[in-house]
Amino acid sequence: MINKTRIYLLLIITLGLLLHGTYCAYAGRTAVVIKSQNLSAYNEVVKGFQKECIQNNISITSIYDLNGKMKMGQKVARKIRKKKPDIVLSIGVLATTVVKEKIKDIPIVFCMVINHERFKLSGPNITGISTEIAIEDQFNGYQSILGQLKNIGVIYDPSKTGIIIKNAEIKMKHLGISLAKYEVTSSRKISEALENLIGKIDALWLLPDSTVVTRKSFDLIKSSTIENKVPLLCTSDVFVKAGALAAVSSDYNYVGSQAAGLAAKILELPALSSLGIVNPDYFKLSINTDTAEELGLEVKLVLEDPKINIYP
Amino acid sequence: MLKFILIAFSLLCLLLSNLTYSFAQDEKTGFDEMFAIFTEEEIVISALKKPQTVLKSPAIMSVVTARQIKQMGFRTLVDVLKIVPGFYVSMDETGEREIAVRGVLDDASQKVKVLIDGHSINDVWRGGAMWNFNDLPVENIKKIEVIRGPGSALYGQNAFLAVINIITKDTEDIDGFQVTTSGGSFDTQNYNLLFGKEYGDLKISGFLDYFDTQGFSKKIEQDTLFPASFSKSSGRSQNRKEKTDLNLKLSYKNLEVKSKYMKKRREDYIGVNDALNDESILKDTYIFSELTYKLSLGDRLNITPKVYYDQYNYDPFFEQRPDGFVDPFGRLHPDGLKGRLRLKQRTIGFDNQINYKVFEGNELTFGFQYEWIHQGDIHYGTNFHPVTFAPLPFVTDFSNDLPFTRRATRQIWALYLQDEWNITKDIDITVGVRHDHFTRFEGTTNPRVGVIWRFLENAHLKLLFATAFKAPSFQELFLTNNSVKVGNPNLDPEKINTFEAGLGYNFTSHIRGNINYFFNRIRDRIIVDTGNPKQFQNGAGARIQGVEAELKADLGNDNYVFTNYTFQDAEETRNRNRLPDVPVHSGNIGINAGFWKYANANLTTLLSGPRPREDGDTRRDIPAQALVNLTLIGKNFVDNFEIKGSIFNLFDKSYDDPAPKNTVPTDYPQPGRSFIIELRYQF
Repeated sequence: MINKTRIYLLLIITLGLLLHGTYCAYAGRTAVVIKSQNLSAYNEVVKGFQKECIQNNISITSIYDLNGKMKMGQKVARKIRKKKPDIVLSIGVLATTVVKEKIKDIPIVFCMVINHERFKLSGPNITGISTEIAIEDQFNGYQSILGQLKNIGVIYDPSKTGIIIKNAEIKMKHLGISLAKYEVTSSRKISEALENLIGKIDALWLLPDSTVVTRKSFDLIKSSTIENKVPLLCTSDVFVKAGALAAVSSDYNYVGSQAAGLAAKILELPALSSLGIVNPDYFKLSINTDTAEELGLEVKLVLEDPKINIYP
Repeated sequence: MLKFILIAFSLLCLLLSNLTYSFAQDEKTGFDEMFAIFTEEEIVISALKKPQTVLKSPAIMSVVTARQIKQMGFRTLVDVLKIVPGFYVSMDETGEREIAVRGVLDDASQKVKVLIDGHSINDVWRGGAMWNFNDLPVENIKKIEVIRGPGSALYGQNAFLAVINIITKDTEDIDGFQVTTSGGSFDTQNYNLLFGKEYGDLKISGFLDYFDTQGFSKKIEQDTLFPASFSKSSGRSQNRKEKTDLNLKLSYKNLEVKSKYMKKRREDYIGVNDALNDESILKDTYIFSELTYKLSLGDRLNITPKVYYDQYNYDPFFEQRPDGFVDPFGRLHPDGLKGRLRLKQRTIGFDNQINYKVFEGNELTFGFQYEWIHQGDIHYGTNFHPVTFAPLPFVTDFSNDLPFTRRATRQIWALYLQDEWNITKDIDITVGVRHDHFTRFEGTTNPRVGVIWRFLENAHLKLLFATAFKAPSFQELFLTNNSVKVGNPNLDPEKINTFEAGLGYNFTSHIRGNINYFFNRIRDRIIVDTGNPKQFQNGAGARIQGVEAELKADLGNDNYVFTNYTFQDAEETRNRNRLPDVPVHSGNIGINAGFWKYANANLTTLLSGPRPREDGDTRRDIPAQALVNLTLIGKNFVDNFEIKGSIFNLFDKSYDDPAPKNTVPTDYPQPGRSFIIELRYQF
């Protein structure tokens, strides 16, 4: 049977440990990074994060790469739980899903998750940076090179990008732009969608929707839009490199810096908290001048503007 | 020459390491990146599809997670069940807790199926799991899923009113070691070691728990023998308990072995047959082991065969009547009535479940189960003649001549089939049926139909119908040579028809609520008659209807509030008498504040309306009560260390659990304020 004196003794020792721990708790801040796979975009985020963490006195103890494997995530999550960092940066939807499920008592900042609403990434310890640039900023960017746009077409799978479309439609109305939508549930329907839309629109807005954008369908979309002199506007510069006219997208290095800034803010808070999901602070406009030429467009370029990337 | 070889070897190593490095660092760039991100999305989507949420589950279901269990300061399985709507916990004369579900409280909670990681732990002697496992430690529990409503269409016997599936932690949940030690009121001490480690494809996890307590002791003014001079009343109840639990899970690739060992030794709270005593010792040992193989044949077909072995040893020493007892024939028993019982039950079983994805959104489950249950190794010794009650000078062995039960074997064959079909985006339908064939009575077939309709983005409706059965326990069938009650080998199984309707609504992303209506009709209830000795009989039925309402607000950062309310109107059908000992109104309110990175506080209130007496009992109903529990957790002060303190019955309310008519007039008194302090360290 336990002796009451022993319980009191145990309590005193525990209190001593707790006081010691309180002192230690403020000694330093650590972060770990977990990325879904080895992509140049993700690595750019890491670079930005590392740079800004130095400024904020946060030391990065580990960088994990899941190599695109969910199973690997469980092992990494266990390692993170053991390390008990003060904050976790997750890059990509796979890494973010893993840490969301497995880590509940450490603040998480996620980024590079396309259409984050689809994955229900909110939580008491979860803060995020959306990949989507505000609709107003996107279309102001496109219009800065193309002039006023009135009718924009979009092909989308409602189960994947339905929420983006729903939100965009209202905002575009305020900008005086009408959105011609075409729903598809299979990439086989892209040709039919293009036939229906192409004559009625000033430009086609291409979302990162895996039903709509496949290797095969992208070639079809690109050739159809060029043939019909319809600008193809995207949300990632990789499509511009591949032949789309323009994209307004986030700067990955800056996303990393922004994540470090959010991490520093979270670590100042007294309790485990979330700052919600914010838009990227900084974005860039990318233009493919060859495509512009093929479309016969005279784009208004400000070459010295650091926010504009010119391809090829 | 040697130098040259060394240099060449070094250069080769450098080259190879560089090659490996550059291969490992081979990042995708440009256009490929977008498709790599799309692939990543698909991996996540398919992984998220697998677990079925409470909303999509074709049952009225509650889930309590390890985090909630810790925050609320729960120590045992019954502590957790107290907050489940429709559940109510009550103590019997031996000190064990029984659970009442949806208005029905019966001996050993036989109408509830309890599973640990899918393995049934109901013992066949009593039919229930609560005698052995009501005090199951919660330290290694990942979550507890409680299906309110019948589950015989999938789980067979005893899944009558509810199914409790306890899911234990795996290597990935533990990853290392966790040591927990606690101590508190009633000289309670508890030590727990939890471990989990992965070595390549081999995963090992388990826990060892040792618990020892003097237990709470209360003054009992009158026992069933009062006012006879040999009665020990007024005297004190006893509740000392010592228990060891061991769990082990091993898995290698597709093969998994699960084992459990539980040994318990305890005193009798009031005493068997409600006479105070000081010599009774109840000993129980339960072990099980299960071997499972998971075979996946493509994306559509999964086959999961398993074999298992269970053994239950029941080994009590009862002091039924105290020293100096004078029996109804006027004979003096100077050493009282004492008896030692022993039996062993063994179960060997085989189950093969096949899951086949017919097409996207339609999954078929088909299975076959066989169980061989044998009761033997029966020993019975008493210091009185079991039939004539004549006193004997010492404990005499009656194992062969007048045993308390007999050797018996039960074999069960079962076939089950279930189809879960996501007909449209908003409608799911589940249809299932199971046929069980028992050696002692003819087969029973139990169907189940469930429809879930998500009629609004944030609202769903569940309509469910099922039947279930409870086979008579071996005690109900084969108890014999007993002066108080005897079994009846001609008993039929009890049967139930249940209709349920549940409406769920998410008011905001933080607040959700649901309300359920249920209607149960029970036939052939097994009850004891009024003979001398009493005998188990299939008696009148019962009709129970009720409403369960829940509201939960999760404000994030471990700040949440929950409340639930249950109304249950339970009456037997013959004379329309109310079923006793279960409150008509009950509920819970809980609030958790994770107000600081270093602390968490939880306050839970368990509310109960008056508990009615059985027909003919003139005592006033057990009064309404409100019990408040407070738990504080200190964390993150020291790496991997946590301290938890809980106060139960914070306001020291005096309350009792009901004793049957003509036993203990003042009922079974319950503990006042008590506390426990727990230290936890992970490494």
